[in-house]
Amino acid sequence: MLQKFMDYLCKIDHGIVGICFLTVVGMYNRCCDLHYPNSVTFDEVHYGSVTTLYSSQRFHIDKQPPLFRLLLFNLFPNYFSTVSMWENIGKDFPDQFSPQAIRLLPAILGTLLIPTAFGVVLKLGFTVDAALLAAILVTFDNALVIQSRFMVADSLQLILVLLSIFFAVIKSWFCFVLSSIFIGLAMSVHLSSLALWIVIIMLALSKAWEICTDRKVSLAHGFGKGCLYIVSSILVPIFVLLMCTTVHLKSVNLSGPHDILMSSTFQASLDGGLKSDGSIVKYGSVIRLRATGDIPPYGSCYLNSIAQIYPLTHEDGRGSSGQQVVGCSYKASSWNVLHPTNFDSQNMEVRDGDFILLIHSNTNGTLNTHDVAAPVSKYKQEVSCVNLNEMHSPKMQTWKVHVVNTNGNKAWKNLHSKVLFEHVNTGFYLVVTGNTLPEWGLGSLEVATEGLDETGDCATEWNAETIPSSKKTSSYKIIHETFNNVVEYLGMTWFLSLQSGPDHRFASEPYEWPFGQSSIAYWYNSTTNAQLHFTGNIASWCGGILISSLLIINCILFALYQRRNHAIANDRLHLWQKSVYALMILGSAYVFHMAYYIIVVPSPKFAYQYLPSVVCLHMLQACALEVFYCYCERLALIVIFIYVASVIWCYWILRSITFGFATKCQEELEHLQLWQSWDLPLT
Amino acid sequence: MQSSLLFVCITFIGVTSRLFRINEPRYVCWDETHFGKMAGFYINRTMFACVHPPLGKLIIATIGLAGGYDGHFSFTQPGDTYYTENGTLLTPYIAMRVGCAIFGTLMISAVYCIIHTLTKSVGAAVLSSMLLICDVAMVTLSRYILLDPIMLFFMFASVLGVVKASALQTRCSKQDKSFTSYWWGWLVFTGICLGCTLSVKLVGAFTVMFVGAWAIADLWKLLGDTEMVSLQLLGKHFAARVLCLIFLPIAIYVGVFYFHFHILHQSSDDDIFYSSKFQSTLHGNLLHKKSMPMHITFKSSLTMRNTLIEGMFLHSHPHYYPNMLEQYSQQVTGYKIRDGNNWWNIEPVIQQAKKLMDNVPLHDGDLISLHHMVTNKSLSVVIDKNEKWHAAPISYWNSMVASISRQNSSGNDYKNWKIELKALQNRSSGICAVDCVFKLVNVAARCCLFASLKKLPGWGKDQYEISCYHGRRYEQGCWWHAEEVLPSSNAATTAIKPPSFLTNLFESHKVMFHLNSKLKKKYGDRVSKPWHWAVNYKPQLFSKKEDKLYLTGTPVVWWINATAIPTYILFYLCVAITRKRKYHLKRDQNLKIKSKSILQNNCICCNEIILNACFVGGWCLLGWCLHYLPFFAMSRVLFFHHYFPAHVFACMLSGTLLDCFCKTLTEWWHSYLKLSPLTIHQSLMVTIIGVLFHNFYLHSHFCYGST
Repeated sequence: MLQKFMDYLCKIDHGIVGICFLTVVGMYNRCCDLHYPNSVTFDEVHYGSVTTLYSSQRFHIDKQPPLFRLLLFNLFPNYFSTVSMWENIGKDFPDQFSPQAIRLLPAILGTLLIPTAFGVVLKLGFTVDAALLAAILVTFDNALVIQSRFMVADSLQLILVLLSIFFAVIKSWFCFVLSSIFIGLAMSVHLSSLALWIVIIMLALSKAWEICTDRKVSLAHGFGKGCLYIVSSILVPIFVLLMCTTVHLKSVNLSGPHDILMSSTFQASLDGGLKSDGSIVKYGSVIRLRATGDIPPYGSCYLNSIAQIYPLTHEDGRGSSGQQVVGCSYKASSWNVLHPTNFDSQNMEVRDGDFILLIHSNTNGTLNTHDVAAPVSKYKQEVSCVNLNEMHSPKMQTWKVHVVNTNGNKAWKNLHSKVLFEHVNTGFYLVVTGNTLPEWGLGSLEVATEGLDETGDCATEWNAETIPSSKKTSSYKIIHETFNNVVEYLGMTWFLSLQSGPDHRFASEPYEWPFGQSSIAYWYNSTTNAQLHFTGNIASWCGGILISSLLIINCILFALYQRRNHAIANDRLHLWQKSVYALMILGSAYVFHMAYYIIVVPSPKFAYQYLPSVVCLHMLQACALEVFYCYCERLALIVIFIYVASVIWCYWILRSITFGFATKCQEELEHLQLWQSWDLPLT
Repeated sequence: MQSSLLFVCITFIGVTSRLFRINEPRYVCWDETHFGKMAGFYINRTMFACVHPPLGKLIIATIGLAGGYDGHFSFTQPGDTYYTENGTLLTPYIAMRVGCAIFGTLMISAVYCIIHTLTKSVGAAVLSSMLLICDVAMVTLSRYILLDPIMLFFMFASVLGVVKASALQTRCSKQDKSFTSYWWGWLVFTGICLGCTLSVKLVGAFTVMFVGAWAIADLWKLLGDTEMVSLQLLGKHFAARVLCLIFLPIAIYVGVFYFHFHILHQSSDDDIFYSSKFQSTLHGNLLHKKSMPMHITFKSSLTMRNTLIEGMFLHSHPHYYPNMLEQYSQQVTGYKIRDGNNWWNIEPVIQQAKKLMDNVPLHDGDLISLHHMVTNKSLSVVIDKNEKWHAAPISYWNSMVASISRQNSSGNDYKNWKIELKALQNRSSGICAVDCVFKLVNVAARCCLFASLKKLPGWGKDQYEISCYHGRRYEQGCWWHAEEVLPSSNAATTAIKPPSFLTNLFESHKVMFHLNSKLKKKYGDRVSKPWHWAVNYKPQLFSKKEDKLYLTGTPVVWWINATAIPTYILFYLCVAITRKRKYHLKRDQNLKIKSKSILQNNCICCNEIILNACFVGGWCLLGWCLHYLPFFAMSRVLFFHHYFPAHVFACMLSGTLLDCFCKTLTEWWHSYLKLSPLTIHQSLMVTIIGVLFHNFYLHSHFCYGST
């Protein structure tokens, strides 16, 4: 055993020395001077302020799953006791809290990227030299360096992604499960790891195919093992993601700022969250009406009425005299459920098919709709509140309750039932249209009525949250099942990650990333004129694209050559197989990750989101360079030498904005504008 | 012989099913309002903006013209009747519908030929085309004035072409018909049809991919054939495909656009989408044949327009920005309509007084100030007392731009703008109207005048934001050109140079993609989702509500398709694994297939029919995926009819699989039942077709309406 290990050491001796040296260099450029700048920088403000919500155990949700924040809080709980520390960018850290400690975690993870990248290239079957080359490119990438030096999630995601690739290329089922666990963890840090998950699933499929068609094992055995690969690649990451979310939800069990986004049943499961009178809505109940599902742009939508009439008349001269009914994202107002004729029928349960009146508690207006066009959607009917008098008999404002999920019991259950409201006179249904009202609506959503469509679908289903009347003291609480909660939480995270935000000065489009044409200003000190900018190492980014495309062309040409039945030396064939395998894994990881940002993610997008692709690109180009070395040794050696030198040179040039050195004058920084499109210096 | 007879029968049944009661309903249905209207535009020669390339609408216009449509009927909205109250026909809509229906039928004939060529089995061809004929949705989609039947025809005609061409190539050198006139004919036919597909709708790009994949597979086969195919021959094959499948379609596509620009030359409301130069080519437009001063001078009055799509004019009006301490900053906005408030006077900055003569043209790098003609205020970056700039109302990282009273002397430097010509333009001669594109740089604030496509809130009267941009990244919003320039006396005038054809082509594509990106879906809209389509989840209303005409599939057809796809994948895996594991592919005497015995004896019944079905099915599945899966990634509004190219591929797959299934069954039953194979096979086929017809009959009221 020991002997074997020693042999192994001897075999990669210069590799060991080299990687140790590079790791030390990486450690130095990622971990030195972490206390500078001694103020909150760029996205730290986001991670910091969200993480503080853990200290009060209050419920919160973000665009990304919680693993990184969970880790931060559990390692450094005292950093997140007050919000004021993380209020805004540029705010200095208080004396007793040095940023060094908290930034050390991402910095160390970022350093670990170097040996991991080395390992991946080695495991892909390439030589130690290629692996060292990959490690050099990772060490001297300004983007990877600056992103490891702050309290942001990227380096955690990157190391998890790389570990997942590392274990996926080892030929053993156990390692494959490890890889699935890591990709699950990576997804619990950032949803963009979904792209790599697809690569892992593809890998599982190809492994299953290999085993199934291997004549040495019996079909039944091969089939079973193949299924095991596929199932573990799909189920294990999902399980890990669910577990992380469960831990998150367990540690934030108090009602908090983001309650409102979640469904009524979810809110009821939080301590101090929604409380209600009883399980069934009765005549006389006071309820809030919430549209179920995620409604853009805010996520939640409550039925509300404002004591103002609609300030518009339509082209046909018609307008409404009723007061506005709108949807808003907060718990604005409550509604009284009454029987349309028999006002004494208090405490009778409302059931599917019953008729009701809905009275707005604050203004005593009755919910009504009539054949006037809605304010924005001209082909739908306007909804308004009117006062009951002779002109408006209650009969005109009657709504019929349709419970969608009856489950045999026809009662209108508080929180649980999804309900449609049909206006009896017109036969139209109450919906949220998805339009935002013009300026007079102050950002509220339009509520209107429309007919059912061909399949009897209605756009909006509502559910009720009853409000306890003051007389009763005992309150009723429903514990939503944990699994449903976790799934709903992840669904909401996904929904939030798909909402576009406001435009940003440093936002960029994915097509600008491969050549590093976008820069982001992180921090700026007006006295010393020290500036921190996120920029890629132009040499290795552009070079990587070029070298990888050459590799693709080489692989295609080789395949054509082989097809012509030319005799091919065994080692060349082996080299080709290796490079196709590397392309399949690293190349598709690169492409899928880019596709995720091009297709799925809405703007604003930022250049640091390109980093997972960059790491794959660095490893791929190292593999490609080895292939070229095998073709033309001397020339390739010279080219590689020049290339590495230029990469390090580029790193050296850009170091002053990567580390934020004080500069004497603006011209010094203007000199660093390697691309026209870079937005520096900051003035 | 048998196959030709059946081909004629299929075509006949197709035509009958599509033309039956084609005059109903007697009003504009669904998207007829668009394509009928656009056919009218072609006849009236009015320029318009649309998301689709022109060929489909040109064909409809041609049919309409032949039928006597004069372009007067306007197809305003769905539900408009084609007849007057006393029953006279307003427009020959039947001719246009019949034209489309014929295209829809020819598509089925093409499918018949494709499957017959690929599988060499009449049964598969008949089944595939019967699935299409008996599909209510396909009938509905083919009966109206729509682009879809035309597009579908060209799509499957191009697939037919490429399939026929490679069927002519064989390994036996005596029978190999490569480079014969037949072969060239089919290849050229493919190229033409591909070009036409792309010129009808841009989803034709997926068909281009399919045909491309087929051609690559073809070449790959030739490449591996080292005995028969020399490298030189291979080169010829490659060149022929590049010529016919790449250059020919491009030529057709460009040609169609040339024709389009040639026909349309009248101005309309859609002019706003196009650039000023483009507008100057349209009759009836303000800029048409307008003569302009050759150069902009230091005393010109002009309007300035941005080069963005739907570019707006630099506009100012006597309203102030809300919530501002500096009280007298008048709004500067972007406005899309020609208006008196768009006019500005150029004045030189004082230092350059010597240039005060009228006719000195402006040059690159000159400093000017701009004064709003109506209110006589000058364009300026807004600063406060400490000379810090104000943030713009929406793009808060830009600074605010306003018109400020000329007497207000503070911050005079911020009223000076430097003209910087866009690179690649002739810098020596002065700045001209329309042609010259320039940036206006505020020297004191170091930013440039910037138009964004962001609408201001209510106080901005729904106009667009104009601000001053400090960065360098998004220069698209920074480019301006002068549109109208008031002619000063004794200045040389010139007409606007008409843009070249390629510029027009490029610009109309920009407009197409811009319009397409505006079609976004949102919550509450009744649009269908891609997963609805494959299972025929939701019907789509085509007529007025009371007539109940829907786009919805015949259930049996869609069930068969929905099961055929997973079945095929399983089937393929089984075949691939058996082949890969090298189980003997020999014919079992008794044709007893029991899974256990297969595994033990390493032997399976796997004959030519199955292998061929596997091959053909694979291509159909590829076609289905290529025409279906991309829709999952699209963010625009989607409709059920987007699925139909994929649906045809699915029908081809089901037809092939069903035929293979029938033949295998026939072989089994033949040994058990002791009937002749022909009888069994034919009775099976008749049963399937009977079921299809019956189901079609049951649901035909969705396409023909109930009597």
